[in-house]
Amino acid sequence: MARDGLDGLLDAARSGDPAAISLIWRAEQPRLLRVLRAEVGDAADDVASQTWLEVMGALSRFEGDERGFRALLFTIARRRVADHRRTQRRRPAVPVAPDALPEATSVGAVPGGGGFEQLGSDEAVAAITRLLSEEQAEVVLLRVVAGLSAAEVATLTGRTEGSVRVLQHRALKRLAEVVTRDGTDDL
Amino acid sequence: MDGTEFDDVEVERLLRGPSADDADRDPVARLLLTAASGLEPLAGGPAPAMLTAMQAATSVPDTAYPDALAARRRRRWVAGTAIVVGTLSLGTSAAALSGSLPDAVQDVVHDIAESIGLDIPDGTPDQVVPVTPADPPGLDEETPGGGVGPEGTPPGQGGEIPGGGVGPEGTPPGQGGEIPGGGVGPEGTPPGQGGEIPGGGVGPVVTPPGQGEETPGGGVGPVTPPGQGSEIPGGGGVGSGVTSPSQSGENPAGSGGGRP
Repeated sequence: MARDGLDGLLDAARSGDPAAISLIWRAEQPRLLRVLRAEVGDAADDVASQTWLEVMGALSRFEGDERGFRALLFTIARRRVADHRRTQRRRPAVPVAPDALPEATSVGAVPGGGGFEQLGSDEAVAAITRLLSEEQAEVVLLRVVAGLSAAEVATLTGRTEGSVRVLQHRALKRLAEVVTRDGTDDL
Repeated sequence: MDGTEFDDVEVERLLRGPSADDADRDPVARLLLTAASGLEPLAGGPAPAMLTAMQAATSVPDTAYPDALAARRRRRWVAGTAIVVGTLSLGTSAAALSGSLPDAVQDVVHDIAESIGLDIPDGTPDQVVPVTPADPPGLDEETPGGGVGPEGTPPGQGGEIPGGGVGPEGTPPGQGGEIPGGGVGPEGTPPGQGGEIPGGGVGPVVTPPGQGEETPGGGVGPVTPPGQGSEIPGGGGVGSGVTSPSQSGENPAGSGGGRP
């Protein structure tokens, strides 16, 4: 979708045009869901719905282009993820028998073995999340999947741009160490 | 570079979206490319209920997250006001405690504080205590009738009031220090023959009234040699033995007096 097209859709969506809202949703939902699945797993759909409702509420005051809108989308999504995690922490833990747990795998292991060449997109995101620290994975996913710049990620996460650059540099180094170590089975 | 080191340019290129060529050469680029694949727009739109809710949300004022700038201004205003109010309160309290507020204000603060049991000075100016001049020398109640002469002062020349000080009220003349020569001789010295010590001696054993230690004008100088009483100058010295009134400084004629 052309950027000009999304910019025009934003104006129409502010006035409540359902067609414009639907087109924006179709364009951005895949990115949003992919990042959210890495963050909250099966709750990604619910968190995405909450995010969209809040984004639409904030749209009347939003001024910006497609990139700005995407930054707004993931900023709100990040808050909803934090709320979701807070809610999960308040819920009582349900004990699970060891036999019911999935087979233990290595840090970046892919179920069924094999290298990252065989990974699907969601599995690649899951591998990145497992291999990296929480902060590193967040930065990498916001950059690669959400398509935000380092400065936008810095604003979104409340860090300095230099801090984001350090995180992403260490993240790539960590990924390179894993994928070049004796094949790719660790993934 | 050992395959795990990236420079800034390469990091930026990989994170912006690696090309297919990058993915062929670099496993990290391949992983990132895979993670970012399949992000094409969806074919179908949201569920009707979701679309309706989104449409309704666009007309609802966003109150969950108010404008960040306005919120920041509001926080700054509240913080600034709190600082100013706090500073003024502390300053006023300190001034009230030290009583340095204007009198009218201090009175009000005093009344309010008093009603809640606090002790804060009022605004009344401090009472002026008149300063009294120091007592004149020589009128000390403890040494009435005699000045104080330095040790060894000759009779009649003792102290600041030579020849005797001022006796207490009612002291007859001749019994104060006004009469030089009323010395005290040693024990057994006949009257008027005070030997080396001028003046008639006075014994402390039987001291006639008016000549004892407490009697002004006929005082006793226990340390001072006879005839040279320093604490009660002008009065008779102190000797030993029995003395008579004529042998003390009471005698206006100075029956002792002078060197033999």
